[in-house]
Amino acid sequence: MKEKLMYRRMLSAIILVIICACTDSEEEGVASGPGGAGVGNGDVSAASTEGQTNAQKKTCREAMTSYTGLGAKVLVAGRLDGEQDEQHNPVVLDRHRVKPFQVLADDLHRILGTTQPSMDALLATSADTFAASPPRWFIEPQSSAVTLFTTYRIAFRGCVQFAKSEAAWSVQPTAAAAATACAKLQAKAWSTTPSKAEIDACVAIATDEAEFAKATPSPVTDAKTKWAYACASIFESNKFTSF
Amino acid sequence: MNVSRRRFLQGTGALGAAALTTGIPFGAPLAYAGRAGKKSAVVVIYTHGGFNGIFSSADSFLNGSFGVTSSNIFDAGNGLMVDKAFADGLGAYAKTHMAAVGIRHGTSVHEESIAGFFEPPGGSAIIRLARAMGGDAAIKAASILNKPAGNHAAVGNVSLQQINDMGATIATLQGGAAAEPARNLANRAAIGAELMSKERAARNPASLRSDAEGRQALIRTLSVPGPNFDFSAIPAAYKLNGTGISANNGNKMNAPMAAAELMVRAGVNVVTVTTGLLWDLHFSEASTNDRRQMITDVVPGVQTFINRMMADPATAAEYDVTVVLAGDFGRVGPQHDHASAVSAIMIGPGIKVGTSGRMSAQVGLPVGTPSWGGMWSMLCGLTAAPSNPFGPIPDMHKALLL
Repeated sequence: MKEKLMYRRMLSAIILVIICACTDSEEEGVASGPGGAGVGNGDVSAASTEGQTNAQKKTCREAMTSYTGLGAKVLVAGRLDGEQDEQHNPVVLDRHRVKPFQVLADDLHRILGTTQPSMDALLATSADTFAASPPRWFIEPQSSAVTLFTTYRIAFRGCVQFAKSEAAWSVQPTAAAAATACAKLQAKAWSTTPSKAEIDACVAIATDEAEFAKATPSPVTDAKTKWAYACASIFESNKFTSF
Repeated sequence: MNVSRRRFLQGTGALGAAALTTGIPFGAPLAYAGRAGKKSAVVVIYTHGGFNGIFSSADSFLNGSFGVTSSNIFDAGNGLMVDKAFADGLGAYAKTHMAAVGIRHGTSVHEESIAGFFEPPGGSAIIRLARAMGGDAAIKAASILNKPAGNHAAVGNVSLQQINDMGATIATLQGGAAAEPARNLANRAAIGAELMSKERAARNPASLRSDAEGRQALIRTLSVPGPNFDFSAIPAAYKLNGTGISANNGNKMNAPMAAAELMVRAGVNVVTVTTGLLWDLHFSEASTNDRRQMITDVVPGVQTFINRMMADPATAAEYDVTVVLAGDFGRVGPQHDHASAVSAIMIGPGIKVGTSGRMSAQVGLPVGTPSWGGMWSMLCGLTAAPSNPFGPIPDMHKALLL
């Protein structure tokens, strides 16, 4: 049984590498280097456009290399395509995976800062919650209500600390300010450009005075805490919890 | 104080509001499964690799197989005889509320047996049973330690949620503790995060399915008031240090069974527990290893669960819990090879002592004994669910119901 498990994991890794050889519309136009700072600075999209020209507009499916795996099976056999995008390329489905716990932890530090005692305290006791794999082992992570809420709790602590360093977050959130702040943090956390709907969802949290007033044990009135609630929601999104 | 389910029920209005704002489909029947006004729950303990017939049909092996002798058998009555140490370990309540249920599935291949058990024809038995039982709990099906093999895709608002740690689960169920996000704001954020996740979820229907299902379960959980029950006392009752559910946290099945209690008290309909132990035990002619693992590693935790959730009169007045122990198949011959049938053990207040799973000396079951679906149908009948998606309960199993 262990051999089968190892085989499946190897197969998964190989498929993942092949999948990553293709780009899709979500990542195009986004710079996603370490720090994830830039929003659509054009480097990657330029490369993609050039690549498409060179491939004479072949679709990703047509242009990619096909590999045969164990048992003479084509590794991408059975992969499903979604509807075509605006350039008539089939949208590849199911290329994203749930991030392992250690990746979540590293990414949180990368984005929210490394001096995070409160966040680190919760991270230190959360490996079991995420069924984190032992060293040198891999188990495909699965999300659940508990892992998602724990991610939010961890990120909330990180965002409370992060808020202290954001001067703009000393002021009560407004729709305009939140739109700017949400878009900036979403791009950094997700390494992709957020859509208007995604920005709006974040703004709605930051400016929901009715909910802040209802909070127990006491209403939330502090500006930085309000920002932290919206901030943490960005990390609860699957654009952060998967890659 | 038992309260979780009542508090969950109080949140029905909020749940409906959440459905309107989030578009969560509430397809499951709202009727509450349970006899005499009690909340029903099913806990399935699965031994990956096999489930030795000595635990459910010991007298079949008085020919000398598996180390069975007349002195290590417990006669429960009505034809049911099981390993004595097993019965003694489970305790007095189990001895008077247990039955063996035959499953003549016809395969001796592990993968086929496991898949057939959890996904018999018609789809995930866990999801179908949890859905049939209905109720208003935010989470209706949970798996402790490992998710059972199979697809188990959500149907309506019924998904299978994996539980790996009790502390984080308690925080999710109760929410809003000191230094934690306020419950209503965490819910607001979860709804917003789901909107932010919509585009990627649509593009990853299979690989991020657990993510999408987890979000909906989380929103349902946070949309209702937190249960007014001291979940934090549960781990100590199972003599645990900490809240992890790893196999090394106390006795090997204490932590998983503590987690099972937690989830039942939180209103979950169906809980699956995998033992984390290997039960593909070949070359154990006297079944020494089967007995050791079962008696030493599994039974103590199960006994604590039974004593607290089923034998305790106050808790039993509120909950109607059935526990099932089963595995891939029985073992056969001196090499402990794979049989093609298994006789499961069911323990619960609705069980009449007896057996529909008495095995032959060759570890077979009579022709006409149902396969997995019969057992699930019986379980569904025990919960008094408004409907039975597994079809009529086979007569031979029906005879085991009070």
